[in-house]
Amino acid sequence: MQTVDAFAAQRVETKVIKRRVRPSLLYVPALIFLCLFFLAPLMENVLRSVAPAHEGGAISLRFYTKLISDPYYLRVIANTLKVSFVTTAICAVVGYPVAYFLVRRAGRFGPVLLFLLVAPLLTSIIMRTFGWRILLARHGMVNETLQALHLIDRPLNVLNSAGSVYMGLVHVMVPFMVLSITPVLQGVDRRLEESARILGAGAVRTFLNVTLPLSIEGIVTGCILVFMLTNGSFVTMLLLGGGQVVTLPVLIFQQFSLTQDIGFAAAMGNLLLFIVLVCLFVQQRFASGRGARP
Amino acid sequence: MMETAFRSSLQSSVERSERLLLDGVSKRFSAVTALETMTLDVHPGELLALLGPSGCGKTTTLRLIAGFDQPDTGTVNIGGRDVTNLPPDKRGLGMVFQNYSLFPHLSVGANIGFGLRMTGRPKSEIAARVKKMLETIRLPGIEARNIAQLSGGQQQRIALARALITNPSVLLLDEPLGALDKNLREGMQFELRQIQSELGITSVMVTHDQEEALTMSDRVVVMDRGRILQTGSPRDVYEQPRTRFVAEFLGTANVIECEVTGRHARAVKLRPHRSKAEIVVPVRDVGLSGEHAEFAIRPEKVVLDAPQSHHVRFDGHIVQHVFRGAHHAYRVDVPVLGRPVYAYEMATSSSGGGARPAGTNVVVSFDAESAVLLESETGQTLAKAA
Repeated sequence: MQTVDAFAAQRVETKVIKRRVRPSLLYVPALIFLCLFFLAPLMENVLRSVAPAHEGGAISLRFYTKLISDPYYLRVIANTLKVSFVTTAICAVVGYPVAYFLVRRAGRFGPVLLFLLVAPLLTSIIMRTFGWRILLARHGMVNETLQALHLIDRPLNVLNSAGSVYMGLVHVMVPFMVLSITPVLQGVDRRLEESARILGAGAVRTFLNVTLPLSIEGIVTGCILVFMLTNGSFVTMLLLGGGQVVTLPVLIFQQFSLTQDIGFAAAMGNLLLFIVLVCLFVQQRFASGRGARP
Repeated sequence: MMETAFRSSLQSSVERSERLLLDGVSKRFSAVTALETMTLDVHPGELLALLGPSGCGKTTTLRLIAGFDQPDTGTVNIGGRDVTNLPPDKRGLGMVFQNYSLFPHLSVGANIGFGLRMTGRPKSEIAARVKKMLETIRLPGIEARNIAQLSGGQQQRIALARALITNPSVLLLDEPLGALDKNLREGMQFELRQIQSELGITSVMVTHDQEEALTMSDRVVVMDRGRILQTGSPRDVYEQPRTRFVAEFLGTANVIECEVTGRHARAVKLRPHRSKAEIVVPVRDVGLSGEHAEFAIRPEKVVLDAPQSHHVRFDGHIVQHVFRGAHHAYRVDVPVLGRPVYAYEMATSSSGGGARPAGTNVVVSFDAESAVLLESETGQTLAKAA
């Protein structure tokens, strides 16, 4: 009898140990992966950006000083933020109605529309951007059509301008905005809108007083996502901007490919990373602020 | 106390009790008929309950009144005014939703004041009326609280306050107590009912809970599959159900199928299918045709082991006994009726005394006067057969 008890106790013990050990082991592969391919390069990048000017010298912040004191670079930083901000704003204005339509009006066509919306993400961003080059070229479809309709006499030079960059950016980013807003909008109880209606609010005021405030979380998430993605994108600027739109990522690309000033590129990369961290912090604050009153 | 306060704070609305009339309305959703053509007249100041199982059309009816849906035919009239083509916000209604539908992003005060804000009242007036309303519902000074901090019962009161603050002409209640705990619900049934009758506000309530409908309303409309089956006072529909569906939906009913063996001016002689006994059941204005008929008898009208005076008697034995607090519930197998009979006996009743265990032989009897002759739900086919 006693031996059986002891045996059972032992079994319980191993079970307990197993339970304690196993879950903690599960994240080890991811941890190793992140350390090797994320944390280490990041640290290396930081070190590179503060590398001493001369062999054996002390660490130096000269790249950062250059970045925030030279008017040219300040302009680039401001331009980066401006491009991201404008793109985000356009995406929000364009994306919200799309999300609203998907949730409220599309009915059984909703999933199809959602697929059409996501489908472009399956092709490479370079392909999508090149598509714009072909459409907007001097003898591309847009110009040919406008000329055929006699709306313009000479082909418009839309390519290689800020306009075409924004067009390309919005095209690439808008699905992220819609995908961020849709689930939040889906969670808004229709009966809340009906409550507002019966309390005397017309359709517009119901939207402004109930629907919009209740879906603001989705808009904020979408805006931060689009802002961060735009901040880091350079393919669109390179392919559609024709040197007209210079942002930090474009500059980083030039430092690598042309001037080989890797330390300076690293400093700019870290600045971009810092902007992204600020964005995430803002979102976190916003999310927790709303969490208090679900 | 709460009710008197309500009356004083909303005195201005008391005088205007409006009549609500649904005239020949019907509604289809693609292939499904949600509501067959019906006319519903809600008298000024009364509380009318729409009662039925889910999908019976009661919610559709309420949504037509509210203006969330448009009827395919007919008109909606409030106080003699045709509002069929008016949007919900122009109808001057108050509504308490199932789960209350309080705005989660607004404070308690902003929730209650929402209707006043939409009608453009000045801020100072809104604040004063909200304050008074909160005192009335005995939740003073919680204007700044979040909705999520409130209990279910408190949310219920806030929802009612929000619906009443604009002095609506008609109050709509969509399963108003459905989300409350059972013990809280009973108290709120009486409270809500009293507020409503004190205000004299014309009200329409949707519920699937027969007890709630009976407790709270002046009139009950029993619905099934988009049709009105019966309209009447709670007592009427409970004691004089017209059809088997109504009898069985409003509490438990023993429905016994019979053959018609004789007809008199004010009564009909019935014989349960497998029995030799004949029962003389009073005839009402129900359409009775053919050879077959059904009557219903409520379990509390069934007497076990009664003295000889009850002239309808059947032998049976108890299959199951359940103690329900207020009464003992028995399921009695009665061979000649071909179905079990349910009988309730007051737990304090001197005749009943202690509980009867299963297996006991009993005599099931009832007064033929309390048997209710039922209209056949397939009346037309019966008429053809006859």
